[in-house]
Amino acid sequence: MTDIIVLGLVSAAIYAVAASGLVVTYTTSGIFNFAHGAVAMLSAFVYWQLSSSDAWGLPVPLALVLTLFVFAPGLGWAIDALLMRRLHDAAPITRLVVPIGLLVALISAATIIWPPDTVQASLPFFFEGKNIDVAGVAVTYHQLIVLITAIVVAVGLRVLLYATRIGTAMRAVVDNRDLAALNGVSPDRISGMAWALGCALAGLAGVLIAPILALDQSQLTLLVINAYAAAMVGRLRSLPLTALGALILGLSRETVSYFAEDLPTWISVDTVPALMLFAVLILVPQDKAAVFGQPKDPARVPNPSWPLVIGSGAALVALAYVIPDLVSDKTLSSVGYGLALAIIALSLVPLTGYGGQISLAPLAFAGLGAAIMSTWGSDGNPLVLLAVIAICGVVGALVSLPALRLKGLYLALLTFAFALFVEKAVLPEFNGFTQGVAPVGRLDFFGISTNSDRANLVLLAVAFVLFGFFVTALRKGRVGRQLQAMKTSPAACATLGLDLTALKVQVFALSAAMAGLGGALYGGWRGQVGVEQFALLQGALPGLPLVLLGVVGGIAAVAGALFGGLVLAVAPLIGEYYPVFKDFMLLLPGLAGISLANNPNGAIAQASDSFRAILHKRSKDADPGEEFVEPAGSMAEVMALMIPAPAGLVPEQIAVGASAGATNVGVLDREVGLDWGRCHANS
Amino acid sequence: MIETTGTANVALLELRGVTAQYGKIRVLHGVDLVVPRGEVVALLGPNGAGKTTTLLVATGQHPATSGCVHVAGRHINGAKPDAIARLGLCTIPEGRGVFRNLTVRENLVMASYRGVSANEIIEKAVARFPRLGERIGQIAGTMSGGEQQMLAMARGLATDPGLLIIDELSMGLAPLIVAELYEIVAGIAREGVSILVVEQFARTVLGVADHAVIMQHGRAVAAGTPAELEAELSAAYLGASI
Amino acid sequence: MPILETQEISVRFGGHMAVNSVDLSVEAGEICGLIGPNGAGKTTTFNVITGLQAPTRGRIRLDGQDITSLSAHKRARSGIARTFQRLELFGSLTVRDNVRTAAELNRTMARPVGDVADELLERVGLTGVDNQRADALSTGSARLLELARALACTPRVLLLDEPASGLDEGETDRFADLLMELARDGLAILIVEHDVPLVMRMCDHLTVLNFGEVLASGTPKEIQKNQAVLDAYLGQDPGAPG
Repeated sequence: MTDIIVLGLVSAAIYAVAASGLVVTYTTSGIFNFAHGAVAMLSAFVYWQLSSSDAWGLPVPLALVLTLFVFAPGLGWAIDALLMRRLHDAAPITRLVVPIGLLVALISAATIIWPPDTVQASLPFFFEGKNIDVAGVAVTYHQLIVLITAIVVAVGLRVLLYATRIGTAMRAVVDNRDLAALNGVSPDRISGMAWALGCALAGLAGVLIAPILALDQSQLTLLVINAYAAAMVGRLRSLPLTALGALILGLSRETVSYFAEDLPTWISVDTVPALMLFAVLILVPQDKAAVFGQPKDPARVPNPSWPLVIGSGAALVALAYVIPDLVSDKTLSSVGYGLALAIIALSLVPLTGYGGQISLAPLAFAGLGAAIMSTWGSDGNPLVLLAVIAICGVVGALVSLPALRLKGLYLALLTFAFALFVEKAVLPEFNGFTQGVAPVGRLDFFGISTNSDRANLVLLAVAFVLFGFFVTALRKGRVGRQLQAMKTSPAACATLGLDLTALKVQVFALSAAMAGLGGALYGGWRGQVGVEQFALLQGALPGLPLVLLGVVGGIAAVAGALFGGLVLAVAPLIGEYYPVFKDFMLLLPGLAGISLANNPNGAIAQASDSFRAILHKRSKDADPGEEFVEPAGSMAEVMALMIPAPAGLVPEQIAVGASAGATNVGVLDREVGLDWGRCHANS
Repeated sequence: MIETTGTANVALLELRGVTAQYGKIRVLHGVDLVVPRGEVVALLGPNGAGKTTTLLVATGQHPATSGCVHVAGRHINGAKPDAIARLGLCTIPEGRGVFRNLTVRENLVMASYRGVSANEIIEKAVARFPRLGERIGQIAGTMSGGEQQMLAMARGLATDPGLLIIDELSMGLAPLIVAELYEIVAGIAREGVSILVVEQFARTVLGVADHAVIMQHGRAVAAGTPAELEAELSAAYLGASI
Repeated sequence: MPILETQEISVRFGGHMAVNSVDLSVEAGEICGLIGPNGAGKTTTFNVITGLQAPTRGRIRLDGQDITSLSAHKRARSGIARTFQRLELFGSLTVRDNVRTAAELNRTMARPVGDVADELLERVGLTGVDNQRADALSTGSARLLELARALACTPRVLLLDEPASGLDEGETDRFADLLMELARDGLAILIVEHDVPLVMRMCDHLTVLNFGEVLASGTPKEIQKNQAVLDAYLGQDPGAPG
């Protein structure tokens, strides 16, 4: 029993360190760092690289200092300066997806630098083998260090935030960002520091936990995801409550681990974080979903014409028919995966693209669909698809119920917890899923078999096209309008008589059913599946990158889903055929997600914009969405250029009194970077 | 409007033909406003007239669509609020001039980012507002509205700003407290600080101001001394027939 | 009998009473104005009536029926429609689809929704722009579109939150004519508006809110002469007693 407490406290201490880093970055910048765990993982690898005798073999203290005081904070500062700072006015989905892109990119980067099959990396415990006796329990030095570190971090954060000027400024920025700026504090600089601090804490957690677990890219990343659950107990705001959350999580994990044999299989060490995240999101009152609309949502919802949709659909089916003659078996197999994944990504178009509801779980529903198909439809009976629709739809509706009141980020986390739970607890219950050999039959429509690769590929194409028609019809019809209306202004919808609850439940159910069907077809294409195919991060075609590429393609476009699915499946092939690009192809999904910081409408929208621009010989600046409707009026000729003067360029200490008498105004203006002459020429 | 010549007596704040909009909604249609050195100017008008937006443009918190914003004769369009603050422009924003979750002391420390030492700021603030000294460790959000406004003013004044901008000092406060606060403003003005007061409740501020500008529908519709403007006020606020 | 009635509704945000025991009533064919300084609780009152904000206390009755516990969409279906001060259009939809969406949600609508949309757009004068995206409209047109969208609910009570802000004079005049025409057709209209001359011209009855409480209530002429209202808008003269 005392063992449980010690182990629990040690886990709790590490989660607390990681979670407080998450809280620090979220409160100061308003961006939830999904990549927090990946930063921890990367720091642990960097520390291994510096300190291990298999690598550079620096002395441990030096390696620690370089990792925790140079690398991790530097990475945090760079993430903020290069990415997050641009996201202040971005659409909610972009603010979510860019950190997810970062997460995926960091994992790929670590895999490229330290390939798991060639680098056998592992970190030793600090003071390996030494322990002391506390009340009859042997506590290792490593455990002791972890506990002491957590206390030092807690005290240190308290002192930093409450007894230093920088800490006061951080809290001031959290309290009222605009007012802090009016006091001469640069909120950007403060958030840069907060990211540096947050990532340093993530790095510390990574270095402490890596010896306890294994030094493995996705394991380590996922484990620090436990910190999400702890941080949510503090509503991403309160550090003491976050520590409490970490304590509950750490102790319950070890308790569950101890009594594992007496507990139902769905309660295990692996599912505790997901269950806790679920429970916390439902039980702890969180910030409510915004009722009033986004002041500006630049997202566009394409409305392709029917001839274009039907023509493209026919072309896709025809292409699927001829492709098996043109390419190698290996490429063919990837193309089939791509089409199946495109169907799964398409399930996000009505949900996220039209309705603005964020889900990170499409692949989990696909996994459910495949599991159902495997259980009852291994002979390819198409009637089982009805069961897939019914079960996935109902589960989707159930998942949406607690999500109804939650705002975007919590909705994303809730679907994340659900996906984790499906992966760890639900799918392993089905025969063959753990070993990856669950058979899924190819459909047999009462005599018309789709057993051959060509027939099955055509089936996938036809399915995608039919879903595409369905989603397009939705877009053009009443429900599509209502979904878009809900996305732009829930308040207006409610006051016009729209039952938002019913609509959300329906669209969640629809999306889940579509993803489930996609999963069933995907299983058929592969012949046999396992948990690996439907995991969030691990595995060949993981779930987060799918969401990522769906969004990158353009979450509101059918073509965007096709793009996302195909790129995810086919990109690795390019790396195989052209080894030069191998690393780049691995990084592609993550980099694409990150690129959303600059192009929130997605690749398809951008491509079609450029295409139209060429057709019409005019720039996309003429988009009415960006035009000032009212003419500038009599002052138009005095229009001063808006010069975004970087804060650093403005000399810090020019009192108004002093500058008024300054003789060398021109020099000052050049320093300030302001275009004084242009303005005055006309006034 | 006061004409400015040369740099010696250039106005501390000057807006020329400023227009501004939120998305498609244009709220300022060419605002001219001058705050001369050492004077108190009141910016008046019913709500929705564009007073607060004018202020946000002057302090760099909202971009002007066209027109010029000058602080001490220097073009500052596009500069960030924190940079403008360090130029010596001090703003006490509407209603929320304090960091509610920070203590009084920490609120004052925040002013030290404009270059004055924290201890000096606290000393000055307590000297001017003894009541803040009694409450130095209290969380600002738990003080009364009037005390919060005092704290906001103390923080602003501690750094000897060239220009003090006060937005809706009276917001949500009882008339007696408002009168007391404007007594303080008058005192500050006597020390020679230039002040721009934005106020919906016109009469409360006219006794303090040297000049007043009335805004309506995003334009400055009248300007002059308080005595000259008294007659225009009720028309601007409640229609003509009083 | 009034068609819409609020009985002592109060809303408390933390320690602050945003709305304190407000009684309002509107009859069919009547235009009632709700005026008052910034932060007086006008928009909160609208949110309570339309169900976007639960009242801390008090009842709302429609046709004598207590609707306090109904959700927002059910109230809309029973005949309350509104517009928003900060525009809440469906920006990614076309102008026509904005109105269509509302008409489709209207379960009493017997006619083809496309015809209804075209007719309403013609009525508010937006026929020429019906295929534009709604977020490309100017403020004036956007406010007219919000009105058309609200009318597609065939409401019995229409709540308008600052419908004239951002409109030019010509647009304001046409807007006022349209509202008075709607009232003549039997619609009950409750309007929050800062353009006081407009309010004085259109309204049959005015209620003045201040600090969340009803300060005065009466015909426009009575309100214009009310000293308490003048004080609320202009502030008390510090020289005058009390």
